Amino acid sequence: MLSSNQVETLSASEGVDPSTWEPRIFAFLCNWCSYVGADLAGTSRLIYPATVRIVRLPCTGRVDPMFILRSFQRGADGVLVSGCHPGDCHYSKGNFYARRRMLMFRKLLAFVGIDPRRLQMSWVSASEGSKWAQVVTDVTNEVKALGPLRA
Amino acid sequence: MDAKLLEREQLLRLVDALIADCEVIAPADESSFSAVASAGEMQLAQLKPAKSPKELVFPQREVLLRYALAGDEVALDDPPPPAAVDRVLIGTRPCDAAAFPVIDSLFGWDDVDAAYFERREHTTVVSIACDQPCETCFCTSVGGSPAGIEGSDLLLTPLREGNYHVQVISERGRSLVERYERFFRASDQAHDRERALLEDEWQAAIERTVDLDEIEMADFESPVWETLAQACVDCGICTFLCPTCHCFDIQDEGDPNQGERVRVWDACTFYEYTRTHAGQPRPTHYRRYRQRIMHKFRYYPENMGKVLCVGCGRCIQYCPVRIDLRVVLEAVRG
Amino acid sequence: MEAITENIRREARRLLQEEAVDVVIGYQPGWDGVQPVPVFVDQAAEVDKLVYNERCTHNLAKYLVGREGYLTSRFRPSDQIVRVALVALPATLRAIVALLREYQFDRADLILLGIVDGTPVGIEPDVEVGRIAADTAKEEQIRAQTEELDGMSLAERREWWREQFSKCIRCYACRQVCPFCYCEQCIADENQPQWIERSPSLWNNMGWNLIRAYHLTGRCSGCGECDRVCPVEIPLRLINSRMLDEVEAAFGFVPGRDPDAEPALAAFQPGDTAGFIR
Repeated sequence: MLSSNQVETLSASEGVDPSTWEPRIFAFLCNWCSYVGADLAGTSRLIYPATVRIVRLPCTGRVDPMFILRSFQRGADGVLVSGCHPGDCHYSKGNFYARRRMLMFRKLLAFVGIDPRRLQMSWVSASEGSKWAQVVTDVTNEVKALGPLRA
Repeated sequence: MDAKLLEREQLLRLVDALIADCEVIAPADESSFSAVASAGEMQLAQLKPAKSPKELVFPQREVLLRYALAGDEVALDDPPPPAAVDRVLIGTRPCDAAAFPVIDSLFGWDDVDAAYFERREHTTVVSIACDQPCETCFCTSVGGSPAGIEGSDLLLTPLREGNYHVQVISERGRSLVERYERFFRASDQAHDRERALLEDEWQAAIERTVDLDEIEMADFESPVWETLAQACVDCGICTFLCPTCHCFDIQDEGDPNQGERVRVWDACTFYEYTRTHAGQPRPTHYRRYRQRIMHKFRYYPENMGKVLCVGCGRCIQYCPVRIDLRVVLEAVRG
Repeated sequence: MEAITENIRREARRLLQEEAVDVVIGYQPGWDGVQPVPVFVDQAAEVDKLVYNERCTHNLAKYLVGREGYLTSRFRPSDQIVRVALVALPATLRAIVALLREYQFDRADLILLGIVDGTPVGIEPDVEVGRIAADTAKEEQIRAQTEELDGMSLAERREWWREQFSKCIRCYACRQVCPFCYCEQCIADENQPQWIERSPSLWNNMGWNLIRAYHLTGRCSGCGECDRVCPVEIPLRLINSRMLDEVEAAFGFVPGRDPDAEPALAAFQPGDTAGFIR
């Protein structure tokens, strides 16, 4: 797993071959639920697409839309924000704020012509390893259908 | 070379011929100059777009070097030199043209900016004189004129008949006329006289002038500075639109593995401009505004012998709070 | 118009003579005698500088806040209170409501010389100096342009905005005239880390314009100044106006209308729904 200061350097996805192209998805995971859930998927040896690059945060409430914009600029084709279920936030309320923010940010993206489905969100708890694998699979498929962002 | 005449339709044909041989840049819309694919795309009625033509020789973003990490080695690459593409800049007003020699002094001082002069050498400036100055123009207050020749290679002055009087000012201008002589015809003394009379008329049409010779800039510590800029919001419009402003910042853009070192425009009006770890000598905006005025009208003349202003008036026209530089200059009499 | 000018001058004179305020912030005629310039009058003898005409659009609340704001300046000793009287347009009044809700200053430090237009606003001016008609023409224009954009495909809209943002020269005039851009260190000026690079490439410009639009979501007073001042005519008000509509549709919140309502993005309801969340 990569921590926040190890985000890979990614070059723009230019000259892609549609048959082999896989999307790059940056995932911002909360430390207490989703990150642990993702770890569980790993220890359970679940197979799921290797498209996500994970950044660990204390809480989805920490996700500043600037991270999302920066991700797109740095080569992400999609961004996934995943945290504790509403009501289960380790800090009580962070995910509630995140929910409103991501909703509004998707509206902004849609207005300026960036497909809002490139910004995805999920609630994955620490015990939901298989849900994590499913979420990544579904998000990968959806973003793959949208094509590279730079195209 | 003696003056020439150019009929209006011949100007369009000349431009189409130029487009076949080189890049032609003209006012494209209200905001900027850009390359045109045909004479019909020129917006000559819009002679002074918001953005000045300085970006042709001083781009807002210029790559200085590229770096890439390969294992333990860092590869540094100079960017390719600006393409030695000949360009004709057509449709500048004399004020915008006059800005080029003013900032030549800066870019040629101390460390000569080779890329800047490469671009300069490949740019032929064909200006069109102003038969109708704007309410915000004040070129005559800074030594310019609606039909001034400073900085131009050719100056086209619209005459009453509808054609243009063509003054050949430089070698570059001469060689353009020689190369495309089929479009020009000879001017005679009557036309030359008409041009001079029109210039006088247009100079007189500038409503609001400032006698800079009489202005002795107020002392640095004078309290007058504090009230002049109260409305200023510290944006970069006056600086970025000004044909003579040339301050820049150098930034690295990229990531630890690869990126570019770029030069970008900067503005002394920004708070960040003089913000350093050692402190901030201009924390309040009257200090920044004082710096701007002093630099343009005292320091630059002292250092370079030229006023850092051509009187185009964009700073007045586009200022979000309509600060009028002419009013300011009158108010800062020492 | 003349009546409003007279009212402003009368109130300003009274307030300064009675020493109820230290400064009156309003508009004065500019270089052509018509285009207004913000003015800061601190002498009763100078109140005749103050005018009002339909070209007075600057959102003067901008001068109250921020690093050098009259009510928030860090360059003034904290025990030195400046009391301000402000000529406040409808959008300015909305901005004041939102700024108060963001705890930027005390209501008591401010005397509002309000110009109202009948649209709902969550604050009473101390003195109503004028009534003007609501600018429905502007609303109509925004609606029409937005409809046109909504009629485009996503790809067409993306291309349209890319063309707009590639014009941006990063002069930050949009930010500097906005009462809500009062951060002492704007995210665009951060360099540890550098979130938004300074150079005006398309993506850098998009980063700037989109993050500003997002930071205004749920706060913007709809004054339109950002749009007016842009030297390269990027239609910024379309974005801010759209986000105001989105906030209202999703959360029933309109900034400036209710002084007690929690700002939409600084609040939540446990029952908020967002259908896209897996």
